[in-house]
This record gives sequence, structure tokens and C-alpha cells, in this order.
Amino acid sequence: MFRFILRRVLVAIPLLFASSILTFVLVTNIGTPKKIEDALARPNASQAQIDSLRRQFGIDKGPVERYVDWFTNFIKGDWGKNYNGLEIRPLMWDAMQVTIRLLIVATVVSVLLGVLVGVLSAIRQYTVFDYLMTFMAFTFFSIPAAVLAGFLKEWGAIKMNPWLREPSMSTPLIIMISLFGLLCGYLVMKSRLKFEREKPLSKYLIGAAAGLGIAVGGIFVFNFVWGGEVFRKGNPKPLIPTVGQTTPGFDGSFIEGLQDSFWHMLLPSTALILIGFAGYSRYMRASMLDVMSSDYVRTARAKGISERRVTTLHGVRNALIPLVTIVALDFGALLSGAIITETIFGWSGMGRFFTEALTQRDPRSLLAFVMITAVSVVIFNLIADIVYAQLDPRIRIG
Amino acid sequence: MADTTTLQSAPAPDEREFSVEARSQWKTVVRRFLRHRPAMISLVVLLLITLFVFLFPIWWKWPYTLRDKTARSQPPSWDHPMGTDELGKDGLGRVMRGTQRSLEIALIASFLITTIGVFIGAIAGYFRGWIDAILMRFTDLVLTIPLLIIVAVVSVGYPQAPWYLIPIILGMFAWTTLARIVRAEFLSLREKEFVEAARAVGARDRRIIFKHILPNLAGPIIVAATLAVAGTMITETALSFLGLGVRAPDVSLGFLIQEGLTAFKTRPWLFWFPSASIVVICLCVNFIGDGLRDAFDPKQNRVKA
Amino acid sequence: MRTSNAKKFAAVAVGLALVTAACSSDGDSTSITGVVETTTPSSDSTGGSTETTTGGASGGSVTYAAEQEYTAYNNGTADQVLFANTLVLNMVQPGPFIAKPDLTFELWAEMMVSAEVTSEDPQIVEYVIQPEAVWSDGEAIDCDDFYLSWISGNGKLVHPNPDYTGPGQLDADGNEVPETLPDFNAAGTTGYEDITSLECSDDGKTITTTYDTPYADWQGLFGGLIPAHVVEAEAGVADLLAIDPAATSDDSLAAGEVWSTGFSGFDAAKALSGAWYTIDSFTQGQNLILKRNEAFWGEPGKLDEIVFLLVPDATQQPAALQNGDVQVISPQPNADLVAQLEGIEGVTANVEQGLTFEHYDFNQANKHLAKLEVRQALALCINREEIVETLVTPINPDASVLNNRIYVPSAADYKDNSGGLTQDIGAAKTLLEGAGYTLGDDGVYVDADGERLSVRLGRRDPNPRRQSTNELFIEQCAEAGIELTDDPSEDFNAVRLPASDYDIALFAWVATPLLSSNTSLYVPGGGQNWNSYNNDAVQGLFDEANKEFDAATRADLMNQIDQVLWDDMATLPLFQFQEMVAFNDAVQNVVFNGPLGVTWNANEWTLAS
Repeated sequence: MFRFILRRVLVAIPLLFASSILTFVLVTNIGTPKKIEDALARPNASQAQIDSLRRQFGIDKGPVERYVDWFTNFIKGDWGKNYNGLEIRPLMWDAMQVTIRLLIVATVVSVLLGVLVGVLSAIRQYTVFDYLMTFMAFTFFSIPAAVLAGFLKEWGAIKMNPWLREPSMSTPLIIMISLFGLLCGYLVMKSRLKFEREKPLSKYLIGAAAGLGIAVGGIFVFNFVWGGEVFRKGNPKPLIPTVGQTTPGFDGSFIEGLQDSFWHMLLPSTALILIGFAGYSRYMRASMLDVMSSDYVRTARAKGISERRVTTLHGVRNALIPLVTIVALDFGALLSGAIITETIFGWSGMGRFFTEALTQRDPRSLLAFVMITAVSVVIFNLIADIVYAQLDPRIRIG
Repeated sequence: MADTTTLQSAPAPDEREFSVEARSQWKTVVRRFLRHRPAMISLVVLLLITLFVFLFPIWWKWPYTLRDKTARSQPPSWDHPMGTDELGKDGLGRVMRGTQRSLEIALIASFLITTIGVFIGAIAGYFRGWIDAILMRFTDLVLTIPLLIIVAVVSVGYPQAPWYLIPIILGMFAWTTLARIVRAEFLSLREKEFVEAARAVGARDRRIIFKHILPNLAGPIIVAATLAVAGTMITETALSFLGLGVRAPDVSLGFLIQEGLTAFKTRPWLFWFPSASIVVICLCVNFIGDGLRDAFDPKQNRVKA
Repeated sequence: MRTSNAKKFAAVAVGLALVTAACSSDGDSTSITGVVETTTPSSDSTGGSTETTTGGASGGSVTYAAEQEYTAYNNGTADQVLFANTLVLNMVQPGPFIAKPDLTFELWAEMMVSAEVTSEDPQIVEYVIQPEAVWSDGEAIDCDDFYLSWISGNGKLVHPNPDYTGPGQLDADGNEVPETLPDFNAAGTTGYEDITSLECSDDGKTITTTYDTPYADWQGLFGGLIPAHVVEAEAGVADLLAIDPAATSDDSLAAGEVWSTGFSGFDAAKALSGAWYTIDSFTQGQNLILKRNEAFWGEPGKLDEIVFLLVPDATQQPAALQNGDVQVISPQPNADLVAQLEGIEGVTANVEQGLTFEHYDFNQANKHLAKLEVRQALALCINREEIVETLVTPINPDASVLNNRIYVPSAADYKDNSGGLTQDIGAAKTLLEGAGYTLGDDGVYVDADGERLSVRLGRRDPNPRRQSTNELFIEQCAEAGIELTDDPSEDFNAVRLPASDYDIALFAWVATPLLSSNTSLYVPGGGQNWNSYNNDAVQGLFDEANKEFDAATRADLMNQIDQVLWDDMATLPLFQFQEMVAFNDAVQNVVFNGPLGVTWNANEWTLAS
């Protein structure tokens, strides 16, 4: 195992080196930094000021010299200063923590959801449930992140907060929700009758639906009884914020800090979860279908193992293997999603770092950002390789 | 295991005794696809949309640049079925033009992605050895930087670039996944008997690659090309969001959505029509891709419930 | 984030740099260079449209959505000039005057006993600081703070450039390497360079400045004072007052280094307060919190706390306001933003005509535009009302055509000097025919040499509003037989404009309380006289106005200048950019201020319970 990892790491080093060159070539073509452009537009700006700005941005030398300078300093941990004269490394570090926190939460939830829905879709291929989930997944695929986030803001915060403070529901809405619940129940029942041998799983499904129903109902009751007091606590601030990742100047206990983070994270992570879940559920469905029609599952069934055991023990477990690698390899796409989401929800993570560096055409910030992204992608690929090797019994590690 | 059905039934067209079989394979695929109801509906919808946005502007009285001075910021009406913006530009004209642009961008990018991906994957997988090593390390290299970031960084340096630079850049960096798929398939297919046979009768590499192996990969390639269309449209929207997409006076769906986001509450028609267009188109493309995948998948033998 | 429409207003200012707003920021916006130094508002001023509610301290916390991040405590250095800093420092740094919303200066009574011109020839200004005025660490606000402002801005403290090898040496881009570098990397030297001496009284509370050339905008100087004792301590300089203001020394180099680079970011020990609020904390990328300055000697700020929450994407600000995340926002308005904000219950949105104004600049180096008749014909064929109605009225129904190049209508001295200019195609044609033009077969006039009257309209790209403006202008003047073509380029403001590489340019200037800064625009050799306009009468009037200390007489002279500019049709003003402030109705006394931004009177804000 150790040698396997070592070999992968040794492959990664020249790759990262090449990536640094690619990064540098890309970033050298971004044009004049905006700050210099602005200074040029000021007629009273002296040449000395322009030159000092050029030095500040480190673009006063030839490309090769600049690359060597940048690369050696970057390795040493000196990433230079950004357009505002601030050290890039601590900025980047802060930004990464913010984004990674968001990404971990979003990924964990969306993988769980994706696996659940994918497995159910697969074992109920071509049922109403499958079509519904397929349609949902494709819809989330097809909605631009900016639009989705906009919806969430409108209905998840602006409309939601006043409602949470004084929750009430019109009778038609209650009837509609009840009808929807009945419909779901009916569909579950129907599918259960159709696939008699999958009965145990349907039980879980019904159980899950009932649990969800009780939870939602509980919140309603709770709210009606306390008149929304739970979500208000005499706090003038809205419960679900639309900007920022913490309350400014927040000062409270660890638990309160967690709560604060939770509410701030709610909408951005939901946006990422919906998009991520759509992808994972499709992968999981395909992978599950693949496994369930494989010879060893047939053998298992032939041996008389119960369908439940077949599904969980042989099916889900093996179907998870490709998903694990996809999650790790998907890091780039995840990060891209985070860039858009963070921008909309006013978070100061990697997304803000990137968009700001981009608008400012700040070469050093961009270099640091792209390089760190590349390193992360390579690390995640490495993890994917290792995990895959661990999970897949067919791969032997020498 | 996937190979069993496909491979033996889809050899080179010039080998007579197999050609009947080959057609029947394609027939199966077509039949399966035709029976995939969501995919068929999507195909029809997508074709109708495409025809509409490319043909209707010929007769439509409001080209996307023309301002109707008498109707600024008007909600949808008979005269302007999708309303107008603050300059009196017709919503329908702009959405049609935007859809055209977005489709063009998507098609160019998808074409490039497919061509480059297949080419690199095929060469790497077929020749193996150091060619493979170099090409795959190159693929790894491109993969180190996420697509949106690479495209955003490249485009920011060329604010004056014509619109077709966007799909070209997208195409130049988004081919990696397909290349990997094609390579993997090639690696296994090149060892098969029919390739051996072709080589034995003296077929040259080019012929083997294009005539013998590649037709077997039609399925995954067509599916990937289809899904690239949807992926590109969404990426273009993200680029527009970063202010790096198509530039005014030209419009794309991403551009219109970006513009419409601010008008979400006050002039909702500016937001909803382009957003709905992109969602419908991408949905259709995804369903078509799904249908194609099912149709090409030899293991899809489960009867519809 | 989006670059095009949203990112606007990367404004501003400071450092008495001259006006120019050669619109360098992206897309829509204009970078206003040179408004006032960060002068700070007074406590008793009510200059705006909202009535000030008087009352005791309300306490509480108000959050303002900042579009740009605070970067530095010293906003007068060449690389830190930022409007975002002005917005914070309004409440933090002391100075002698406040720029009011009507663009006049008012003595900051809590800070100054008096500040007056005691002699006009030579100009001598005497400042007397309130005896109890202190920095938040207890050190008195006095003469050495003024002295630091002066030596950092007088431009005389320069040291040899170590990279300089000789005349004609060029750097990598072909620009000349300067022989000297300033000790203090100041954004501008205007005004301070005219001061020959600055004397302190024994108690340090009286400062006397003497000028070699009269500088009528002296009230704009010495705003945004930096605590000199902090610079002394950091630089290891025993006494700043001992630094020779005219020759570089080790002390001036050390002080210059601290002054230029030592104040970026936030350091509570250095970022002292000399006014209502003090910077309590700064979280990079997220927020900055102002808390009441306990050492302030005057009437304290009403709120306990003012939070600057960073919301860089202006399109997200209305949602944040509606949701209650923030209480005050001041995004660059567009029609949807305004309509959206007006539709929110419990929110007031005030759109104001800003200080930045769009205009067409006629380059007289062009053969056609050199003729007065052609310029006048252009002014007659354009329909400015239609342009305003199309592009600005949807944002602000009260928007109007601007008819003055020096003052905006919110200024007390604004006068319409255009003589009622409106579209008159017939008159335009008559003028052209009178100047020897004949109508060609293609409907475009040709001059005596047979050259078509075809002119390019230069502008920065991308910028949808300017594009539409040009489209309208082109359409309107086509009727009068003038062919105009859109001539967009990305580097227009940065490169082509200063190089006079245009026929007609569409860009913006900023009206400023510093009237003398207009000189460089309309006088040859002024630095921003890119259109080759030259009229001795204008030059004479400027000479007179720039040493006139009586405000009324001076305003009259400025309006005379504008009149001549109209007669010569040197440039054609169109309309002002709109600005806005929107706030939750629970917050009172929020008043717009062009030069200083909405936080200029944040000490007066109160929060209704």
C-alpha cells in the first residue's frame, strides 16, 4: 500500500510542475491589472506610480524570469501580495477553510441523498418513482446555478423568514399538502404490491416517508404552539440570512456558533446539494443497474439469498465503488459550483477570491488560486485512486 | 462484459457476412430509442424549438436589436409575446436570437469536444506505449484545472473576442472525460479477434481505428456528445454570470438570464422566458442522452413495467 | 459577481487629485478621481432631503452593505485611494471641513474653533483646533497632524530612484524611468504644493499656512488627518515637525515609508479615531465594525455600532435589505433595482442625481469638428431629452438634461447656460449649409473639399448604456445629414482618450467642490484638455476665479466660463449618473452625499425601536 501511494505521489509531482507552467501561461494572458488601467486613466498619475504598481503586481520583468521567481517563491510559501497589498497566503487559507466547510457539508448530504434515490430508482426502474426522480435530477441539471440560488433566496429566506416568525397556512394549502402526501403513500403502496419480493425495502420507504411526515408535522405543531417564538428568540436579525457566512461580530458559545453557521449555510449548501444530488443519483442508478444485472448477483439470487440481502450486501456495496471515485474526481465541478453559489450568497470563500482576482486581473492572486485548485484536484484524484484500490477487490496493490 | 453483444455484431461494414447483423444492431438501437417515450418527446420538442428559433426570426417583425420606442419595459402582449426590455427591444426576438447563439455555442463546443476527445482517446488507446503515456499525462494536466476556471481565466484576457471564441475555448479544455472513455474502450477492443483479423489481412492503423474499432464506440460517443451540448449551455450561463460570456449587442441565453436576474421581481418576463428556454432545452438534451444510453446499452433488456 | 452592469462605482477619490472620470472601471461605471479629501461630516448638518430627527442616543446597531472592501486607514496614498475607505473613515478621521451634499464646505465645528483666510496676497490660512480635540489614545489632535499632511502632499520630498541610470532610460514597456521617487507615495499634490510654510503655535492648536500661489479651494485640504504621533513611533522619528519640508532626509524617508505602507489593512493600535466612531474590528472579506469612540469630546454618535457588511455583488443587496440582513444600501441604481426596492414594504429608496455626468467631447483636431457650425449642428440635431427619457428616466423620473459643465443641479450655484438648447434639425442643416456643406446623394453632407461629414463616436467597451447613447445619437443626427458611427474600444478611456485619439468621445467628468480642478479640462496644457479646445477668454476667467476667495463672485465667474463653453460648444453635457440610497424605515436620518457617500452623517443615524 505504501509503495502504491508513493508511486502515485511521485507521478503527481511532475504533473503539478507541468500544471504550474500551464497555470502561468494562462494567467499571463489576463491583460493589464485593473488597478494599473485605472491609474493610467488618471492623467495626474506619474510614471513613477505606474511603475511602482507594475512592480507591485510583479509584471515588470520578462515571462521566464517571472515564472522562475513566482514558482520558487510559491514553493517556499511566499505567494506575494494581492492587488490590495495584502498577503495572499493567509487570505487563501481563510478562503479555503470557508469553501471546504461548505463543500464537505454539501457533498456529504448530496451523496447520501444521491445514493438513496439512485438505489431506489434502480431497483424500481421504470416506475413512477424512477421517472419522477429522473425528471427531478435532469431538472436540477438543467437549471443554471445562479437561477436556482435566486429561487432559494426568494422562497427560502425572504418569504420564509416572515412566515417562520408568524407561521400560518391557508386551508387550500393544507389540503394540497395532505393530498400530495396521500398520493405519495398510494404510489408507495402500489409499487409494493407490484414487486412482492422487494417488500422489505418498501417498508423502509414507507417508514422513511412517515418519519419525514412526522418531523415536518412536528415542526408545524411546535411553531403553532409557540407562535414562531422558537425561530425568533427576540432576535431582530432574520433567521435565515441571504448574505455572509457568519453574523458580523458574532460572539457566543460554541453551540450558538454552530447554530449561527448552520443558518448561514442553509441556503448555499441547499443549492449545491440539489445540483450535486442530481448527478450522484444518476451515477448511482446506472451503477446499481449495472451491478444488479451482473452474473454474481444472479448467482446470489440463485443461491436463494433474500432479495434484501442481495440488494444491500451485493448490490449497493458494489455499486458504491465507482461512485466513490466520481465524488473525488468531481472536485473541480464542485468548486465551480461553489464559485457561483458563494458569489450569490456573499460568502468570502474561494469563489469570492477567484471572482475578485478575475475582475481585478490580479496575476498573483490568480496564480495562487489556480495552483491551489490544481493541487487540490491532484490530491483528490490521489484519494480516489487509493480508495478505489481499497474497495475494489479486483485491484491488487503491489 | 459489455462487449459481447456489441462487438461481434458491429464489425467493419465491408465484411459482408456480418453486414446484415450490423444493420439489425442499429435497428435495435433505433427501435429502442423510438420506444423511449421521454427521449422521443424531448427530441420532437428540441427539433421544434431549434426550427422555430432559426426560422421564425425571418418573419418576425422585431429583430433582436430593434427598439420599439413606443413600448419600453412592457409586459407580454400580442405585439411583444415575451415583453420588451427598458430600451424597447423585443423579448421574443432576443430570446430567439439568444437561443440560436446558445445552441450554436453548444454545438460547436460539443463538436470540438467529441472530435478532440475521440481523436486523442483513440490514438492513445490504440498505439499505447509512449504515445499513450504522453497523451494521457497531457489529459491529466488539462484535468488539473477545473473547466469553469480555465475558461474564465482564458476569456478574461480577451474581452473583445468574438462569440465563437467561447465554444472554441470550451471545446479545447472539455474533451478530457471523453478521451479517457474512448481510450479505455480502445485498449480493450484492440485486443479483440476482429481487430486481429483486420490486422492479419494487412489493414493499416488508420483503417483499423476508424473503420473497425470506432464504429463500436458509437454509443458512448453519441451519448457524450449529446450531454456535452447541455453541459456547455450551463457552463456558458455560468460564464455570463461571471461577466465573461457573449457580449452586447449579441445575446445568448446565459446573457439574457444574467440580465433578467435583476429584473426577477419587477419585470419577470425578462427573467422567466430565457430561463425557461434554457431549462427546457437542457432537459430535452438530457432525456435524449438518457434515451440514447438506454438504446445503446446491450444490457437494457428489462421490460417496461 | 458580474462585471458588466453590477460592478459599478469603483469610485473614488481623494487626494485632491483632479477631476477626471475617465471612466476606467469596468463597464458602466466611472472612476471618479478626485473629489474631496476625506473630509468628515459635521454633527449639526442637515443638508439633504430627509428631515433630521433630533433626539438622544438611540443605541443599537445598523448594518450597511458595502460593495467594496475597506483596505487602508491612510486613504491618501497613490495605491490606496478608495471610496470604500472614505465610507469608513468619514466617521473616524478628523479634518477642518465637511463637504455637504450641496457641494459646499462647512466648518466642522466640533473639530475647529476657526479656519479662515487671514490674508489674500500672499494667501495665508489660519486654523484653530478645538482645545479638547484628541485622538482616541488621548494624544491631542494638533499641528503635527497638519504638518504630516502637508509634507506628505507637497511633492518636494523626493529621493533618487536607485534604478535610474540616466536620461532616456526606458523600462520594459518603453516608459521613461523616473529620476526620483517620492518619499511619501501620495495620490496627489494639488494645493499642498502651493503652501510654502506651515507654522505651529506653542500649544500646537493654531496652524498658519502660507501659499505662494493663491489656492481658492483651500477648504478641501487637510481632510482625513493621520495621527502624526503614530507615524513618529512607527518610524522611530523623534519629532515630525523637525523634518525639512523641502529636502529629503533619513527621517522623511522613514516617515514616508510608514505613511505610505504602514496603514494598509487594520491595526487597532495605528487606526486611531479622532471623531465619532472607532474601528473595532475588521474581518477580511466579511465585515468591519465601527464602535462609538469613547474619547470623542463632542456629541457622541447615536448608534452603538455601525457594521459594514461586504456584499460585493450589488444585485444581491436588495434581497439582503428586504431580508433584514442589512439596513442601509447604496448600490448603483438601475430601473429594476429601483422598482424592486420601491416595492418592498418598510423600505425607502431615494434616487439622486450624482456628481458624475456624461458628455460628448468634440475633438477640434478633427477637420469637421474644428468648425463651430458643425459642433453647433451636432448640438442641434441631438435629442438629449430622448436620450435621458430612454436611459435615465426609468431609473429616476426626475432626471433631466444637464445644462452646465461646472455645477450639477444639486449645487446652489447651478445655472442653465445652454440658452434653451433643444433638437432642431432644420436649424442644424441651415448651419451646415452656411458653413459650406452641401447635401450629398446619400443624404450625408459633404464639405467644400468633397469630404463626407462622417464622424466617429468613441467610447469604452463594453458599456451597454454608452452603446445605447451612441445608437440614439447616430439615429437622431442621421436626419440632419450627419453620419456618425459607433467607435467602441476596450482601452478607450485608458489609452485613446489621453492620446486624443478620437473624433467625438463619450465619457464622464465629475463635478467637484474643488472648482479650480476644472481648469485642466478647458485650458490648453491643462493635462486633460484632450480635445484641443482653446479660448483665451476661458483662460482669463479661470485665472481670475482660481484666486477669488469670495464664493459668490467665484460662482459667477465659473458660470461665465460655462457660458463661453456653450457659445463655443466645446463639449456637450448630457445627463448625470444616478445614485441611490435605500434603507429600512427603522433607520432615520440617512441622507445621500455625493462626495463623501452615504455614511457622511452616520453619527446622526438613529434606530427606531
